Amino acid sequence: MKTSVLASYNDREAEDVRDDRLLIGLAKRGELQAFEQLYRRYVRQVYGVCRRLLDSNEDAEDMTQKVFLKAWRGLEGFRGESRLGTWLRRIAVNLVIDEQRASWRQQLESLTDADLERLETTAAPAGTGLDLERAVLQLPPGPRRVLVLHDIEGYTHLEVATLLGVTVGTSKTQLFRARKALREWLK
Amino acid sequence: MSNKQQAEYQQEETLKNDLRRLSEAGLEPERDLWLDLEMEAKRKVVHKNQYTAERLMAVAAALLVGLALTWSFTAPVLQPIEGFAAPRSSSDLPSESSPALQAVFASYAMEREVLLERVAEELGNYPPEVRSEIRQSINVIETEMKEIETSLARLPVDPTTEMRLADLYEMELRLLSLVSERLRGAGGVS
Repeated sequence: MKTSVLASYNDREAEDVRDDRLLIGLAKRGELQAFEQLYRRYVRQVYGVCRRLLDSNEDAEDMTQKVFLKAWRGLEGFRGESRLGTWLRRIAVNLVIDEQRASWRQQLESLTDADLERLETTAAPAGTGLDLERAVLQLPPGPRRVLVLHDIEGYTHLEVATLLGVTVGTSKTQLFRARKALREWLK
Repeated sequence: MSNKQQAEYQQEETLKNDLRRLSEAGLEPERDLWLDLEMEAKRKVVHKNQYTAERLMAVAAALLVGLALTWSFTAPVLQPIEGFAAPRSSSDLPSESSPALQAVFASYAMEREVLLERVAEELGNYPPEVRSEIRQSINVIETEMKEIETSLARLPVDPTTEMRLADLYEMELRLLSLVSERLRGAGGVS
């Protein structure tokens, strides 16, 4: 039973990849309708990463549009070595960070140990019974961004540190605190 | 490891797994962003098509100038040729091709015919190996052309593919022109 569920999942996944390839091929030839279908498939992933990294829905929406425009203009350079979703999310991370790096770095470096300790002991934000997604969004910006990049998007500490312009130590400390706060809030 | 530590470890692992899943699950934006995006994206399509049409017309103009020059020098000595390269006619081109590509093709077909006459005439003074080598080079280009023309016949008008075809027309003419100059310069082998 387990095998057949897995097999059908893999079949679906393979079918999605085939559909993606077809749509990408058409979009590369300038077919906007094909690109719209790709947008509909991946907008949640792109908006998700933008929203978790940025502080407001409006900023995340603007950034999502920029990501898809960049993808549309650069689609010819997509060789299919990674999945389209992964490629789009990488564009999103790079664009967000290009725009925000300077101000974020200041925020991260100016957090003191006391601030971080306060985060762990802070009671869960209003509205108990938080789901994980809402809890992540309630984290303070600095630790949240480290957690998003490392735990959600799969970057290493070295990559996070390079992207955010901080030390590896800062990245590790922030992640540790962010996870601890989430565990407390979600208990 | 104490029970408390074990429980914390389990909690941490569950949290990490749940966080990993958020990436592909994503979040729904509050409004449909496609309409604004579509307007911006359309600008790229228009720009791309304009650029291609401009390039096609530039190629057509260059071919026409080349044709006029070639014709003025070689018209008096034109002779029919046999078995060197198949003649091209407008029926080789997909009927739905863009007007710009049709213009390019018309110029190309005429100039190609003139250059082939000239090359064939000069080649008469050369051994079969040289003739065969030159024919093969032309075949390579023309085989690719045929493939593109066949795919264009199956697909709707595609500016990028049309541009590739126009580039091949230009490439073949450059090759013929170069061969013709070299042959004339060498003066033949008896």
